[in-house]
Amino acid sequence: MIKVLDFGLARHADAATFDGATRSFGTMEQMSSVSGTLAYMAPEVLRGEAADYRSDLWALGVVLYEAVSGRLPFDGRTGFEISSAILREVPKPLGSSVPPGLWAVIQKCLAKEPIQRYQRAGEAQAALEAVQSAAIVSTDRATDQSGPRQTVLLGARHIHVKSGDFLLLVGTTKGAFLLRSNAQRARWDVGGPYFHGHAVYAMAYDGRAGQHRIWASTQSYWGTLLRSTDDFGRSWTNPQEATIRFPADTGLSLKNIWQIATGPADEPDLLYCGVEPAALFESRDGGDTWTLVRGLFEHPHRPRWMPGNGGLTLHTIVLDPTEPRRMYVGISAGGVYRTEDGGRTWTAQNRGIRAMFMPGKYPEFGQCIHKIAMHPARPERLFLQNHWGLYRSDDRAENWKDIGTGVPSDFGFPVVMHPTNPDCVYVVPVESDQFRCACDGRLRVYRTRNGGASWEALTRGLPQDGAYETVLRDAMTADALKPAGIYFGTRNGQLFGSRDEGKTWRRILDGLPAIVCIRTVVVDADRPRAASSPRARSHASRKSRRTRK
Amino acid sequence: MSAPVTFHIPGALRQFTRGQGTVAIGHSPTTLADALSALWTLYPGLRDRIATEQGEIREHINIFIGEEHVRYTGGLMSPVAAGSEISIVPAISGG
Repeated sequence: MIKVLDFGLARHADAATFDGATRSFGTMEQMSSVSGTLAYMAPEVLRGEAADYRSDLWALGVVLYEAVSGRLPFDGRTGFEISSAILREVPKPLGSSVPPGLWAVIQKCLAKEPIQRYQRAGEAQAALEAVQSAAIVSTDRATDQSGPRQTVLLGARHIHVKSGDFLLLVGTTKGAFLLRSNAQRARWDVGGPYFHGHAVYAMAYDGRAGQHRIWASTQSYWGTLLRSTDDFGRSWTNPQEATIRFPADTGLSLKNIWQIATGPADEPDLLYCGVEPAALFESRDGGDTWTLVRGLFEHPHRPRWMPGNGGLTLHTIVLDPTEPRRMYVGISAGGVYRTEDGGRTWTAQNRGIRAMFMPGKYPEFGQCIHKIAMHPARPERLFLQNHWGLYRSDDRAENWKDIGTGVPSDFGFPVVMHPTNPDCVYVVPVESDQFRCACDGRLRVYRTRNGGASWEALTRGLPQDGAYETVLRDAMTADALKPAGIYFGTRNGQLFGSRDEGKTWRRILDGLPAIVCIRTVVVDADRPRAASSPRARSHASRKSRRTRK
Repeated sequence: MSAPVTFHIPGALRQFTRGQGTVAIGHSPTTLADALSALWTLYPGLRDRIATEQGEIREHINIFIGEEHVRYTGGLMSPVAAGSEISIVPAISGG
């Protein structure tokens, strides 16, 4: 039993009363008007900012670190050195004798920004209980669960996220990166690489129910996993068992996860994943467990879907914000399918979409869809980038109309909506299916502001000579700021952004691995939290439930 | 008592074996499937890294009994003699 009686406001005690393992230092009272024991004080307290209960969670982290190691996480000979360490340094790893889960809890408590720590004392408690129960289970060698539930990725550089920050989530064929900026979107800190060597085809941000969760799929020799982080990349889930798995009767094995979609705000435990081989999975418990959506899997068309160049994949999920039971999926090469009953039954919705590679050019299904976009303000209307062909539907995908006049090529991969203008869409044409690079070596984004009646090239700041770039289907996105930002990454690892709706562009990063996914996040700490929601339970606790037998 | 069967665990998977590079199987498996089953009873996190959800060895994972690739000795039905050393090795494919 450990009773902690004093977190922040400790009086100076005679050093002789402490042994070498537990030390205290002179108080700040000697140096300034700030009160407290320096070594336990949170960065925001030292900066003179408002302290709250999360400053106490920092102090808890210091005490835990000290309890398991006998030394302080932030040390120094003078008050200045200690303050400097608290503000800037990362605590030294605790070594293999400390359970990784406990180390993850301590690191989370010792995050420099309050928003990166546990947001409630109960979360820290649940995480510690999960570590304790894992330790109990792992003493039984016959049912050893000793594998890590969470992985702290050493060697990755981390970003320090504050409320109001703006993030880019970037998935590449060799790992993920997190980029941090603010509403100005002028300077960027780069975190990562996370999961270096693993292909990260899908990322998503889930800010529902007051959480800050980032999802990522990772694919490697060792299989494909869905993982998440609640602390902006410092620790990631590392499930013992893959949570997305084809049932035995299907005879199929998961190859990759191409899309992660969050359900409506009022159903914060609902998530979808689109996978390869083409199928849809659904979670109704916040991503702990997943089930195959049988209604689509057992569709009579499925045996006749054919793989595209990237495999037979379900890569696009579009939810109708006004009708929660309506959803669209895009399959290569299967086409567009729609459900009106939450996934029980599905219909092919490809009338008017060409399939250049088929003997009949307008089949019922089998089209190679590349991406579908919808504006939440006009959910009956959809835009579609096809394998050859740009289309719009004004009637929930019942009929599609060609809008590919005015672009140098109607072959391309992404199609991205402007966040507020439902008539405004962005695409990046490539020359052909044989030569999937920017037309004429000129990297041009095309924009329509009239629903596809006409298109304009956006080139200012983009390379216009020898730029044989390809922008893949999920490697382009928009943010929700004003003016809207548009971002895209290329197969050659260049990341471009515009913070004026596409008028001018800037290269944000160069030299990344092939970029396959980009998402944006505005970090908002002020939203109300659903304390009664099961989502409010600690991430660590939920993981341990998942992995314990 | 016969000599135990020993698995050699690659570095990337030792996070699931408490850091151990070798794991000895207590009972006497007769096939590779038996031996693997015993391995992931001990360390469940290994299973989904080595095998697909359909129980097949992952495409880019090679398993050797002694110095022989199990692809040529019967796959999961390969016989495992007492004292065998089984190596799990990721392939050299990739870009």
